[in-house]
Amino acid sequence: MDIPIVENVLKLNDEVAAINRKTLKEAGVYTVDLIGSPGSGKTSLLEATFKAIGDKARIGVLVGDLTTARDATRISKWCPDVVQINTGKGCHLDANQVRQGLDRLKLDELDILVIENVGNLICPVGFDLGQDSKVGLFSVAEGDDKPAKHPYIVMEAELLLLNKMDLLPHVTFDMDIFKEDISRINPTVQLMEVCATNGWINEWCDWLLAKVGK
Amino acid sequence: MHEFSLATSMVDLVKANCPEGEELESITIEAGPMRGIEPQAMQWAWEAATQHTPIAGCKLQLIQQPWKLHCPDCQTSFEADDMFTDCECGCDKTSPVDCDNLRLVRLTLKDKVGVSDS
Ligand SMILES: Nc1nc2c(ncn2[C@@H]2O[C@H](COP(=O)(O)OP(=O)(O)OP(=O)(O)O)[C@@H](O)[C@H]2O)c(=O)[nH]1
Ligand SMILES: [Mg+2]
Ligand SMILES: [Zn+2]
Repeated sequence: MDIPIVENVLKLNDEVAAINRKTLKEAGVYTVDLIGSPGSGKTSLLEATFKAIGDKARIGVLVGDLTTARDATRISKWCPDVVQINTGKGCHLDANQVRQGLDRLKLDELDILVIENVGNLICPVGFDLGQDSKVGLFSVAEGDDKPAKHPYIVMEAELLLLNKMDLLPHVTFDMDIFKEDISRINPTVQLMEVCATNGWINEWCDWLLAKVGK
Repeated sequence: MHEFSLATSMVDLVKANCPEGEELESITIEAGPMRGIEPQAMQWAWEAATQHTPIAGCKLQLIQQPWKLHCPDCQTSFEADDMFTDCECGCDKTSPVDCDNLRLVRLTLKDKVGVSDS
C-alpha cells in the first residue's frame, strides 16, 4: 500500500534554522553564511575584513572546519568572538551545530556574524543555518567554469565574490564566460571582484556595513 | 558526502511518518537537479543510515527531476536535461526555477501476510 505524503527532507534542520534566525534577529545581528571551495580565501577574506572595518562594527565568527582549529586561531588574532565548530566527517555545517555555536557567543554585543562554512561548494548550500544571506566565494585560480558546475550556490546567494583578482594575469580565466553563466543561473545576484591578500575588498566591506546601517 | 547527512535526515523523517505496526517496503524521494545528488552514493548512504534501525531493509526510490527552465521572453517554463538549454523561441537567457526540491513523497508499506481482501 502506498501512503502519499509531501515532506521536506530537511524539515528538522529547517526548524532549528528558524529558531536560530529568530535568536539572531532578536539580538540584532546580521548573519552571513560564507560558502566557497577549499582554499578559495574565506579565512583570508575575514582577516582582511577585520583589518578594514576595525571598530566600525563588531563582527563575530563561527568557523566550521573538518578537524583543525587553524582558521579559528588565525581569526582570533583579529577578533575575540570566534567559535570553532569541528564537523568531523561532515562536509557542511547544519543548523544544530550553529545553534550550539550561538550559545557560546555574546550575541547582544555583535552587529554582524559571519559563518565560515566548511570548504565545499555543494553540500553547505542546501542546509539553512538561520542566516540572513548566503555569500558565495569563488577565486580566479579555480577556473571560470565553477558557476556552471556549481549552480546551486549561484542560485541561492545574494552576493558572489570573485577573489584572488591579483592572479588574473597568471591564470586562464575567461571573465565573460564566468559572468554570463552567473547571470543566466541567477539574473539578480550581485558580483564583486576582490583580492583578500592585498586588502582590495572595499566594496564588500561597504555592502556588509550597509546591512547594519553603519 | 552530503548524501549521508541527507540519508540520516530521511531516516528521522520516515520514522516520524510511518504508521505504527507497519513495515516499510520502500520510500520515494524526489530530488531537483540543483541538489547535486549522486544516485549511487545516495543508495550507499541510505543503506548505511538504515542499518541497525527499525527500517533496515527498506528500499530507496530516488526520482531525479529534470531541469525546469523559465524563459524571460515568452514567460513559459519547460523541462530540459541540461541547465543551459535555450528556449524554442530562440531566447538564450533561460534560468532554472524550482530545481532545488528535496521531498519525501511516498511511503510504500509491505503487504501483511495472512490478511486477505475478501
Ligand atoms: N594571491 C592571492 N592569494 C590568496 C588570496 N586570498 C587568499 N589567498 C591564499 O589562498 C590560500 C587559501 O586561503 P584561505 O583563506 O586559507 O582559504 P579558505 O577558503 O579559508 O580555505 P579552507 O578554510 O581550508 O577551505 C592561502 O594561501 C591564501 O594566502 C588572494 O586574494 N590572492
Ligand atoms: Mg578557511
Ligand atoms: Zn522563450
